[in-house]
Amino acid sequence: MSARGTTRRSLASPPAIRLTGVTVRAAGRILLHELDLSIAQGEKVVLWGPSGSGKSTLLKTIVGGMPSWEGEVWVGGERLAPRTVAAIRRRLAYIPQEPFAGAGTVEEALLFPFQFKARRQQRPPRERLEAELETLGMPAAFLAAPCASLSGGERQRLAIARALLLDADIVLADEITSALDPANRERVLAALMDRPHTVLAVAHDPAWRRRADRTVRLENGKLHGETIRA
Amino acid sequence: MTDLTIDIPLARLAALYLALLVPIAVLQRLGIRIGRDTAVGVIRMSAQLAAVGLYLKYLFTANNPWLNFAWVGAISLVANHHILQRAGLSRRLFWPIFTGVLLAALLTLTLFLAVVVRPDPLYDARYLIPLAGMVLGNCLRSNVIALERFYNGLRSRQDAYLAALFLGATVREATLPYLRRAASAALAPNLATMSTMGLVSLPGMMTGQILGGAVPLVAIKYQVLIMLGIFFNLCVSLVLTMLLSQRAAFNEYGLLRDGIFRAPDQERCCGAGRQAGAGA
Repeated sequence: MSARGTTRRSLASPPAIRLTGVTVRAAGRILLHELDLSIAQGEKVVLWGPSGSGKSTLLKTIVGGMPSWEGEVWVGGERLAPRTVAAIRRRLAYIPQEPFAGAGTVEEALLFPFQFKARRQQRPPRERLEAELETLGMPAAFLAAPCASLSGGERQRLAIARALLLDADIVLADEITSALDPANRERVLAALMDRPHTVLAVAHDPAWRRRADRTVRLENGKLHGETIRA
Repeated sequence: MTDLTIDIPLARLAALYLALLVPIAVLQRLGIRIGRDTAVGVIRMSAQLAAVGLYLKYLFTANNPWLNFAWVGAISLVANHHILQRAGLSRRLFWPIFTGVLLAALLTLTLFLAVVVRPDPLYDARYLIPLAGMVLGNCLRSNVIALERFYNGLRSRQDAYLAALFLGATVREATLPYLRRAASAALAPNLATMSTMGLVSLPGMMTGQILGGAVPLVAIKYQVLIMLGIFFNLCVSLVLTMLLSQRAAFNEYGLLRDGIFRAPDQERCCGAGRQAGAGA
């Protein structure tokens, strides 16, 4: 997607994500400092910067996962607040650095979100599970495998497949290809970056930045410039 | 009934205190230093029972409904204080847990007194006070296990809890697996006690009644009453305390508040306390 396309869309509809003056503190430290950021619907944005710069904190703040923060967080035109947080979480697919898989099989882990009332109607058929796994280079036979037997890379792809099954408007991904080889990383990038949803991903890998509409650099909890892909 | 009970002269009771010195000396010699803790425990137990004995005598004579229910409220408060202390939870959860404990106790006592035993008057101290004591004693032990498992489980498996929450679960849905595990662990000792009752040991209440001169069959009926009532109370109180405390334990975004756990220096002497139990 071009930057121009992004701008055109942003005029027609509210941004997918908008942060205004967001400050996050934890244990006496400032993790994010008066951060402003706007991401258009369908835009693919990659966050990068040194360790401890606040990248993961930024994603957690958007999903309502930080205990203390100030400022405004808007997701798809709704301001993050106690009464809106459940609806906002339903619009998001958040993939943490170390995703939870559980003690059951891969199939159970993929269907984990669909046991909850909010997503029960969305429960995908088995063929869809197989298709998403295969997109990420995991054969359908994996469905019966116990999660405990998966490697780090397989667990990451399982979490990505689960996020894709949610058909969320926005995907928040935190270093999700750190344990993958280049071939599988490319599969993940194609699966995430070629779909119409909005992506905000934390990634150090230059392959992510090459695929992004925009890259944003964070340092010491502040934005330090951004690059828009031509 | 009282006429049939052999009174124990204080001098003979003192002999039992002295006899306790022998095993303690042996344990001390083996390097198991429980002398101080035992002394504190025995002195506290004796003083508390002596005080309660005097107070119960007054309660039984007065047999005033307000006094009787004030007593139930007071022992619920004490039980609640110990539940929080032994489960390692802060005072932030005091009122929701107290509400759960008191509601479950009142419901159980209503069932005991208004439906099954039907004493005249219904608030008769001779029935209300001992039954309330047994119910709350068992409620204390099981709620310590349940609340400790529930909140420590959530704290140690935050990744699983947050995954559920961020994937669309409500707090109620995301906490359900922890609640199930905690309730099962808390009910397990009681289920085991029920299934071996009469085979391994004669239960406390029944023994007390038989020693007091009651007909064994009547004593057994009371024992069945108390076992069923305790189990009823446990089921209700565990669910109530775990559900009612959630509003105070989680913030508006469903995140577990750090402040619900006691600071480490406040958790002294709780290891042994967690094993403490109450008889039936």
